[in-house]
Amino acid sequence: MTGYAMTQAYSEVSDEVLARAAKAGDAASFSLLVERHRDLAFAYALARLRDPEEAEDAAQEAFVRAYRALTVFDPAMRFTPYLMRILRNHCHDLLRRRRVRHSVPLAPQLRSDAPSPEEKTLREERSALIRKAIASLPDHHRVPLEMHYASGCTVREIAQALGLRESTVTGRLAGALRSLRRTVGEVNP
Amino acid sequence: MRLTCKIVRIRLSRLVAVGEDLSTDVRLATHVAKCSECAREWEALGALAHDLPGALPAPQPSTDFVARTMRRLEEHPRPAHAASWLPLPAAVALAALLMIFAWWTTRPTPSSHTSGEDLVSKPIPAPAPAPSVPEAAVTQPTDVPRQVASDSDRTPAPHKPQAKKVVVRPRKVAAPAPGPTVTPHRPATNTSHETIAWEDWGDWYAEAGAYAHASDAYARAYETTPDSSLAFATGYTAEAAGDVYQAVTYYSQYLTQADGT
Repeated sequence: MTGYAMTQAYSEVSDEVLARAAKAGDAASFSLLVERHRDLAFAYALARLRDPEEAEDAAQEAFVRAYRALTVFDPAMRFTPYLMRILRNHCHDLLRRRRVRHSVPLAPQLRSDAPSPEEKTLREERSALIRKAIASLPDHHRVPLEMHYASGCTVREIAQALGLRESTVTGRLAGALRSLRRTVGEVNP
Repeated sequence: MRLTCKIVRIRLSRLVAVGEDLSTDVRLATHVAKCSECAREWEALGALAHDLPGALPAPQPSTDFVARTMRRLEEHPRPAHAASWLPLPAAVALAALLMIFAWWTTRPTPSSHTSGEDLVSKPIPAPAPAPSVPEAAVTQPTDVPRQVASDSDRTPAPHKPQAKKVVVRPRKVAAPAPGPTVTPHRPATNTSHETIAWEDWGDWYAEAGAYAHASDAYARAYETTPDSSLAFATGYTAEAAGDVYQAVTYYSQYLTQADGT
């Protein structure tokens, strides 16, 4: 194996170079691409599908499809939009197949600073209210919001994942915050 | 621009979304300092953004994500040919394109007719309004103005032709496509049926924006009946298609004939 992964520092190699090497048959280069884009792909899939297991499966499937389609991938193009487009289409197909869309109640992982029982109860109530309000948001608001606040993706990463401009993502995040403020903020400002 | 509370709140939400502080925008900060409602909105948005990460679950991909993905890759090796993984929608689209192509290549086309009866009595496309043809061409005797490009909105400038829309040339065997009306626009006694057929095709191609093909069709019509208006139409459509040589050639013939009349 003469892959770039073996000969160059990981951070020095661009996605496109790795993709070119993977296209030539270097599996190690593709594994580096997987590692590099794993978190973003998973964050997007989780925000869309709302099921960690299904999201992981979808993200893996997107990588598999991206690898299989490398024969037609133009290395002059950027890899991230190529991968995320595949993932978006795959998630779209999965959601379309769901006859009844189920929102899997994700277990909350509250960040506790050892609050008192009363504080803890209040915080959990507010968190439940926020989650309920988020679940009622339209996808174009909910997905960037969850990617940003739950998975910690930057605006730039979200823009890449969704195929949008950064200013559009910022606008959607702001719109989502205003919507949440109307439903949550009035109760507990 | 005057900052209304509504605008301020939108901009406040954008500040919170990108995690910036109010001090980065002096005008907003000034407004918030004076407006208690907006100040309350700023506080509420900030609290909301603070609570969001804690309220939302943050699952991470499994630690063996990469290994599992690579195993899946080994289970499904890349195909040798890209076409073998062609997805169903793409295959359907390809089939539809092939059907359209098959229809296109087998449709009726102008021909060297031996029997002219059908053409004399058959519907011929009615002339559509074509303001782009100069007066000289419109006033040719014993002829009807040639319709070079009927859709004035779509008619490009001669140097910006839309000649790429149609790429299939008319076949030499078959009848022209039926037109919408029955009004012949040229007396059948003055021109041959083949001329009319090629001219019809020229009109059709010109209306479709396929000026190169339109020019060829008009040229064929001109070969059978060297009418000055046909020469002009050939030159005009050739110019629109960017074929300067053919345009000059036929314009010259048109001018020669026009001088003669």
